[in-house]
Amino acid sequence: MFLNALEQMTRKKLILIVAILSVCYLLLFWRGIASADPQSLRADSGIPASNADLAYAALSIAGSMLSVMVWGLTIVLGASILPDEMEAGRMSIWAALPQSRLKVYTSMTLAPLLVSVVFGYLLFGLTALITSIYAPFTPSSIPLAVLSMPVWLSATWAFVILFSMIAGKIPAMLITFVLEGFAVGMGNMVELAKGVPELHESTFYTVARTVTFILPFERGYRSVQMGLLPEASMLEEALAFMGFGGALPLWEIIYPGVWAALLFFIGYRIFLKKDL
Amino acid sequence: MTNIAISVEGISKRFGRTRALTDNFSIAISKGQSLAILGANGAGKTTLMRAVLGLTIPDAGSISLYGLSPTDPCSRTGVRFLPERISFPKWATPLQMYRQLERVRCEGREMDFIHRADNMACGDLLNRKLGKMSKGQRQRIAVALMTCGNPHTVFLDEPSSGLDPAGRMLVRSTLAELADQGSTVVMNSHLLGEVEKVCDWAAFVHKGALVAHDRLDDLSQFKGSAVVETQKPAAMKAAMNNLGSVKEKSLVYPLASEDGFAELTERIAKSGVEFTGIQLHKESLEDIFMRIMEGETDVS
Repeated sequence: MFLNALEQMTRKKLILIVAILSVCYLLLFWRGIASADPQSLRADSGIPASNADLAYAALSIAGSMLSVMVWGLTIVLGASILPDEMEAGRMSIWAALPQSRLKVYTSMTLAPLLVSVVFGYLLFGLTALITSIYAPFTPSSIPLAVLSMPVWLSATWAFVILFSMIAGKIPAMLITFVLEGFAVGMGNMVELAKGVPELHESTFYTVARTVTFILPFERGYRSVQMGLLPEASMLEEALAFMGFGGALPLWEIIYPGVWAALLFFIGYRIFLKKDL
Repeated sequence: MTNIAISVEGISKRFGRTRALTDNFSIAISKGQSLAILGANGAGKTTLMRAVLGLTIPDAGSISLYGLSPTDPCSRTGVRFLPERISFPKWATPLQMYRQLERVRCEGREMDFIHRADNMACGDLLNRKLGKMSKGQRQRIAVALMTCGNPHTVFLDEPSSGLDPAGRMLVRSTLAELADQGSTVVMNSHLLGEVEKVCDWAAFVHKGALVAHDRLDDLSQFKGSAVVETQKPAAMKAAMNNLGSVKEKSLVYPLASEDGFAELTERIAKSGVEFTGIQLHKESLEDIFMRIMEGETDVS
């Protein structure tokens, strides 16, 4: 059943469009990074920028764009899978086969997560690879970046799957996009406030922390970025102050995965009681 | 060992304020039975079928499919379901769809499907994308997908929907073949002529309640006459003391009750006039449907 869902997913025109856009992006990025020679940067600006600094800047800027692409794909695929099958009348065929509802639910919903995670690995991985060709650097923690990718995307995926069953495909997409944007904004504020201890007692900081706890969409992305960004960059400290990079406690890295598992279970309970 | 394939006991189902099945809907379907679920639009036929397959969760009551709850996946082993409305993925060919289904059910061989598709006169479409087929072609493929191999139970919701007369005939012969092989066939259809040729049992559903469930022969009431098929109706009438009325190549005799049929048969045999058949004039399925439904409408 998982293979069926995966086959169905990969045949979507959206995947082809995203693949073409990704190739275009990677070519543009390649061209951009190739023209940004650290030697000339040093000579032109007088700043003693290292390869790691150039890589840090490139990956930080690219990361925001990549995150939106991967998030977008996760939301669109996640919001479509169950409503599309139900609307087409195929869900009743799958559920009438000798398989449990748990199997139908998990197989169908894990397919978009897998596609998004693979897409995320490819985009972030190739971006880091291209960067390292022109500005060799040592990532802070490759295992952290690799492990955080599914955790990051699972939060968005579980949320959009749940809402697609409650509200339908388009409302689920819109709700998730809006809440994602809000959560990312609040997450950035939390990171910013971390550098200003006076803000820790403020209501604003409490609200921002609460939002990132209730909607932990961007915590995972931050840990992907943390793992990927180069060590020993002088930009690291400056950018961390602006909400890029910085350290996250372990529980904040794991939490989105636990949150996603809870939402996934709630989604399953709804699916279990649904007339298909 | 029980002969019951499907047992529904006291189920009810509501969709919001709409009552789809009443509080005490019960029916038992034996193995090998060919049953038509009949009723007006919105009577609850599809809801009943879906509840049996575990697709719709009843509010109360219990259902068993071969002794197992519909929530148990094993209950649906060897069971096939063709919903009324299905939209196949446009990119898929019938063979790809078959392989997708077989990945889960693991019950058949590809040759069985190809053979069934040939029987449904759509064997040449197996490598064409479903998105490029007409509605009727897709329906033929759907019937072939759900009836290939040796399913022991088949549920079909309006299987002839969108089919031309030739396609309907092929569906009928496919279902009759399954019934002959001993499969349990449960179908919803508004095409009573089709039902009459395929099913030997009928269940009438009205406003979510089961109003009649019996063999078609037993449901059909005696209409007060017998029909003799003969090439010489006038001669037959003369030989029978001018009793009966001539209707094309038959003679219709009034009968007070079914008991007089044997005596009439004997008299006709002794008349010396050639005849090809004698039958009691009983209600057609359409007549039964109208009688039962009108009766229910009057009551309600």
